[in-house]
Amino acid sequence: MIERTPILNAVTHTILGVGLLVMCFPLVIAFVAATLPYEAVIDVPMTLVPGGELLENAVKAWERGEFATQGVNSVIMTLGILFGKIACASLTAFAICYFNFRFRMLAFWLIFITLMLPLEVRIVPTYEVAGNALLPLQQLLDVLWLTDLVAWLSGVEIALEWNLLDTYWGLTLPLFASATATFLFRQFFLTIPEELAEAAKMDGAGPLRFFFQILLPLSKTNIAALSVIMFVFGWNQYLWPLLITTDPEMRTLVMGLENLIPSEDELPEWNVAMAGTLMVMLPPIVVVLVLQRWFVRGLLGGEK
Amino acid sequence: MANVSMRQVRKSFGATEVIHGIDIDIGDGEFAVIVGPSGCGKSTLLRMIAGLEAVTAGEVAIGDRVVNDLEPKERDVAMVFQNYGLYPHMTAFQNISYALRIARRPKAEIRERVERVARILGIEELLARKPSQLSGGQRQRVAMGRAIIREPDVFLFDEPLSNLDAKLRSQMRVEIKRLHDELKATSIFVTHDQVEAMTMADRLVVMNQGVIEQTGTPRQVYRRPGSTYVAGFIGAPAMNLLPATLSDDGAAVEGRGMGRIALPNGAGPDRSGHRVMLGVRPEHLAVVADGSGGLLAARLLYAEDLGASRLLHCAVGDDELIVHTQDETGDRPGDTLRLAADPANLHLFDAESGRRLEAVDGG
Repeated sequence: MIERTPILNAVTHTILGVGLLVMCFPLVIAFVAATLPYEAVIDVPMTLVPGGELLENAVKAWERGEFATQGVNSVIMTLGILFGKIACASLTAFAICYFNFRFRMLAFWLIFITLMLPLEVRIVPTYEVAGNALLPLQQLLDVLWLTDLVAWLSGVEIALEWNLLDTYWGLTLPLFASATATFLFRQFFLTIPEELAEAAKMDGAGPLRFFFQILLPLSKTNIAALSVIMFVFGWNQYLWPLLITTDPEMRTLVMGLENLIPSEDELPEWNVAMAGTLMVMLPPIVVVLVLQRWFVRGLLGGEK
Repeated sequence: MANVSMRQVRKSFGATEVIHGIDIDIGDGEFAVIVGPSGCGKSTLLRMIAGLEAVTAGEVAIGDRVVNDLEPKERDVAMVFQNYGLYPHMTAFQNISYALRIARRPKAEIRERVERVARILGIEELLARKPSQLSGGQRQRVAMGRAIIREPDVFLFDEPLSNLDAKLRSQMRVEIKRLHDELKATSIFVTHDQVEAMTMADRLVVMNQGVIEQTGTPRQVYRRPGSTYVAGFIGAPAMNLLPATLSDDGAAVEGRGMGRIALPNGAGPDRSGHRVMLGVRPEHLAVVADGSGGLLAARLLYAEDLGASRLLHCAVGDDELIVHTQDETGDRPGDTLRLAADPANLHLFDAESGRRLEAVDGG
């Protein structure tokens, strides 16, 4: 809009400024608290002038929260979820867009509908499956009387079990499916001209070669954008890791933060807790900053 | 090298049949052009030869192999697409060599063959560029390179020139023909442009609504169109078609505003009173001086000056016709012109079926 409206400009900037303040104030508090010594942080009201003990607090938080082990776990979980989601979603979208099979649209809509069922809603059945990932298969065999048949024929009873509790598989596998990512890939694949697939066919490329050598390279920006979203999503997982891990060795950073929150009969060392929080926040921020150019481009669907 | 033949080929999408039983034989090394309006099934036919579309019924053979159930890559055909179908993330070199790389040819051979093809097409210095850095004509060349490099039995072209501007189009037309003369591979070229069809074809196949209207050399199709449809489609401006009736002895036609026109061979008395369409091409009509007889009298509506020649739009009774003339007469709209034509250049079609009446063929 080419308009000169000084009053309107002032109003919009004020609104913008207030919004920014509301968004950023908690972060500022966290940062300031993380830099203060213990005595300063328990003052009421707390000062808003940063102190000089950020490093000390951070080191304390690192040790107390066992960030070394948990950091490794967090990275493994996040990257696992990231790659799993992108692999699943792109392959699913490939199947839906490029293969003509019965119930194709039904499959698409079923996937689409799961958008409405976040993990929190299906957490109990998911947990049960994670307890034994082969349970659905076992039940299928039971229903088909195959277990009984085998038991009767050979005397061997089939009891399938694959326990995912307290494993990296358990942290990542149940989160692989992503309707959002599948949908984004599908929308992108639909914009790729059909001639490309036909040209590849004429050139003698099979479906998988077409997928890896043509579709995926073309989806680069799309994948980058998804990676940003999925990285933040994976990193911030809290409820699921909390549920599926009991072994302290398998805990993640976001869960570890809980350890830093002072309980009733401890010193309220909020400065240490905040320093830990800042560190845990850092990786997603870095990823967003580094990939934001790609992120915007991928969401806008732009090429070049 | 191979010939391509189709036997009673049909194609349905769901319940609608779009190709209604087609028979063609295209000889080894021939350049066949399939021409027709959009939606006539010409691209579908091409895609069935390519293997991109399944054949509903009938038989498609390349060489002596029936290829109905073969994958595109097993048919030894290459295709040039309307929108080029180049891989955007690959350079021209990678685009052209993709098929060979899939076939795992040795690196040196690939390089050598790409360079040879690039030389033929004059795109040696463009090989490092991506499609987005190429102009329309250059992309077209890369797309052709991708087809040529495989040295296929059959080339298929799906309206490859329709995205180019007029000047480039006529240039590429000549170039594709030159390439064909050089490579001598059987080529099938689909277009809706009758100029492309006339200029490029060894053999012209005119399609309409899923059936073949006529095949023949461009000259044959132009000289003896088999139906009013072909007469109207091939040649620009289109052939004039005037309703008329055969005279009692079948030796002449009569129509509103044209008097009696004698036919060189006659149609035979058995067809007397038959309703026909009299066809004459604009370029076969000439304006003659008053009183020197001529074919018919027409009222000039307006004249289009093309520079080298003029198009005179005239009215005969309620019907309109066009005269393509090089005469520079000073006629004005509203004038009455006497028009003449060599009887050998008159065409007669059945008014109902639109088919050519063979008995009255001139010359």
